[in-house]
Amino acid sequence: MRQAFFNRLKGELSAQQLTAYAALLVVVLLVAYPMVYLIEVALRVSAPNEPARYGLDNFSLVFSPRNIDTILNTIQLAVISTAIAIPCGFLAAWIIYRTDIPGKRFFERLFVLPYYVTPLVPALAWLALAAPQSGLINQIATRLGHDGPLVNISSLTGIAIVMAFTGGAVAFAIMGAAMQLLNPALEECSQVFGASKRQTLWRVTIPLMRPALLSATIFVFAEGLGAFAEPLILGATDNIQTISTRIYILAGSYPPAYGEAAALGISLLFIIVPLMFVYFRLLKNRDFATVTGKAYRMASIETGRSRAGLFTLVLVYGFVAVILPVLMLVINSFQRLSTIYFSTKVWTLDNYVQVFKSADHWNSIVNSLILGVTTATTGLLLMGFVVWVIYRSPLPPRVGRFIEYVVMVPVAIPRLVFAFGLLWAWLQFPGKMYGTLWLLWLAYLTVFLPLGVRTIASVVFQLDKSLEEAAKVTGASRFYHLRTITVPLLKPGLIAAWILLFIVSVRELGSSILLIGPNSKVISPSIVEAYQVIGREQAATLAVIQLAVLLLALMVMLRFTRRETF
Amino acid sequence: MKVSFTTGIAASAVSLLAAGMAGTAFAQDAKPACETPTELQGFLTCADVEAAKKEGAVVLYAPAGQAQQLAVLNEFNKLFPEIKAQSVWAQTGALFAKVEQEVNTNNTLVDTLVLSDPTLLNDLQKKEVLTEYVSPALAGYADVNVQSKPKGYWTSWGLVATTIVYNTDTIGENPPKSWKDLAGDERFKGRKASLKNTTSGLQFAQWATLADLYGPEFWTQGIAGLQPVAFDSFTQQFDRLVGGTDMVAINGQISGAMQYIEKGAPLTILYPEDGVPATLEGVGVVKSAPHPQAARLLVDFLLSKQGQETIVKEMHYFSPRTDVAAPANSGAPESVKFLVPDWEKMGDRRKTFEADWQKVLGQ
Repeated sequence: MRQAFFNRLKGELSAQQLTAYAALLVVVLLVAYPMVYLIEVALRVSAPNEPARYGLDNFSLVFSPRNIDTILNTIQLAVISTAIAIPCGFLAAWIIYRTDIPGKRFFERLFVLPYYVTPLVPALAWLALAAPQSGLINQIATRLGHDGPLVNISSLTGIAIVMAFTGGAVAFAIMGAAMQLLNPALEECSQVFGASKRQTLWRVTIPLMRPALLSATIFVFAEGLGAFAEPLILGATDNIQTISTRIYILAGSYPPAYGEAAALGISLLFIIVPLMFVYFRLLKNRDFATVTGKAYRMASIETGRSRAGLFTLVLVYGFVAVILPVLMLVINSFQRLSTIYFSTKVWTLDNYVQVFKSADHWNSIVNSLILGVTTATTGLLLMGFVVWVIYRSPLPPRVGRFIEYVVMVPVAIPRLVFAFGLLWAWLQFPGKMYGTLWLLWLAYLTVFLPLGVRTIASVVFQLDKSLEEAAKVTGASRFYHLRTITVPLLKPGLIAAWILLFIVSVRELGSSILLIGPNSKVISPSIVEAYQVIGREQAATLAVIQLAVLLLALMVMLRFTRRETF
Repeated sequence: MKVSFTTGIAASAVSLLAAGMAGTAFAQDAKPACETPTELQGFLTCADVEAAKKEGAVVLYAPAGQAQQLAVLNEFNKLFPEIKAQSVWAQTGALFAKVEQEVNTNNTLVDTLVLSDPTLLNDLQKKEVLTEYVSPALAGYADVNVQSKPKGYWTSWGLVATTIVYNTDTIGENPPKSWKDLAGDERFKGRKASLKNTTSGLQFAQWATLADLYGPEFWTQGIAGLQPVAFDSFTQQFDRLVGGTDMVAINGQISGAMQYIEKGAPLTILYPEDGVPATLEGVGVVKSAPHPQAARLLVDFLLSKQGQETIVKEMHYFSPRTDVAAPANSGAPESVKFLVPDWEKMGDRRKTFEADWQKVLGQ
């Protein structure tokens, strides 16, 4: 009977369809499985020790005045930070990848830097720089005679700006990957027909970049909705709470209010799902292919007199968004007390000595790197495959759309809440994965599915289907065509996606903190721990080391890929 | 130093135990896990030491600093090199969820658990996540709210105390001397005095003990009148204090302040005569521990005089033992009165605390 079932299945479904359905199953398992547990907790109204009773009580708590305030704060922060991050990210990507300014490679590496470290780090750096009284900028201003604080990073706008620096980095990475595949012939054509450079930017470049722009906007906005570290650290003075910090309080209270926390987290889906709907509608039936069978040479736009201005612009942005906070972290890492600058007694190497003599920290660094490489590599394969299933496989469009939505779920739930779902779910799963790096790897694959899929999708969108068809007509096998046409053409975008996945894996915090075991520790929880119970100086030291390790690993990787491919 | 404890402040049944009395009281009541404990490496144990060595490892989950936890475990490792001692750090809330789930799904990795909230420890005791193990070391403990009822499920491995901490350079003349000096002091008004958020067990203990001592108005009128700010971590409080943003930490965790003072921060720790509120971090053996004998051995070490001296030195906690001195450099006077709440009753007070805190923080 079983044989008959498989034969029927084989008869009705092609190998491609079977593979596509298998991918669907994997995605559903990764995303929906922890979600089931999360929803169960949100609906459970009975105490943990009592028989389970279900209702909507936890969801009604979402509308309490305090939670409404929290939701409004969250939306404001997400809107302001996205409104700053997207134009900055786009402009930076355009200047660096499409114009002739000098030092492109330097800026390219520099601009993604804020995304290399956990958001706790820029928050700490900006607190040290611009806290109302104790921040370095304000201390200098006071010494120069300024009355009162010059800048206040603890305000709502201040927090949003710090969030925008991290968001700007991911926007730059996503749009940069797509921008590298932009066919310059289209821009040249526009100029041949008399359009100015500005008109070409508005009428050709930006519309062609729409998938990447939308991807980046959705990501930065969703990350803004789930922002935790920045409001936690910078919002404390003015009591600015967001959904994530509220969830943190609910989960940490006694008895832990997991139900309300889960309901609050899930309620974000009601904001994100309509956004995704709009996103998919906007992309539907549009052709964004810019990589076609025609040969072209990637030429930079000559900016003439604007060159110096554009160079200054990226230099200033790079300094404020990246160099200044990193410099601050380095300074803090050599201090005994991070709020005293004008004294010779505070400088020390002790923080580094403490970190380097700890075997625990070394193990964490090695584990983080192992997870970074494995998640990025397997993630690229899985997510690339999922993208193919969604956009190019012979599945009914409804199924593709369903996967699109499922894939986006982890981005819509704050990591802090989703991590509980992962913990509850994977500990129930047969097999002893808990306490091993395997469980962290699975968790990372899940939480980074949206980022990976959208990044790869925005690259794949630009590949003209005619190339596949041409390969088919000439009799090339699917694998041969993939190896010789698709992958080489998409290589810059895919490498960018790999780097992005590597970075986010090494800096992951939300799910790691709940899923690590004694033999599977990673570095980010150590930074939180240092911040909470030791001091900002050691947190800064660990962050500097995390950054250095990431940079070193990326340099090795980039050198390797360059040698192999170019 | 003399350590005395005041418990169940609101009730008239205030028990003050002078140093040395508790040991006697315990010796009569306690039923250690074995009749004849083995003495080795300078402390007593009821654990099967050979079995513990065969287990070869022990895993501690605790919310104290990882470096400090490892420093304490390192001392244990020196005594028992055959047993690899490892630790995992997370905040108490996360550890609670983690351990509960580990045990419920037969995935237990933890052997010995430390939490900073006794109500959570009581909960795990009721759910039989923790097992009873009356360590012979308990003979040295004061018979107050620093251990489970009945004894043996969890015991404090250190008292975490909180008091008024101020910046010596900025406080000016007439620094505060008692809790009552805070209210109405113009220097501390307008978001210049810091507390902790409701997630802090230490804040819960401070609220309860001082409300019992001075009445709820101490918080809802006196301290609320200062318009204080609240944070999650003592590092945030002391950074602001050192940087000159705040004038005083009303909930200044003493162990944290000592870390800052050792780094050269100009902070002063005040020990008011009325008492110093304290909570505890409790340690217990997990019932389904994968290394049960090593877990018991570790608990015996941690609660022994030797282990407690290591904890006091590395973590700057005060020891609940009557024969262990206060941390060096704590500036503690000869006699400190700790105000330890009755954690059995604290569960019912949570909602009042949260409501009061909204008033205190003007929310």
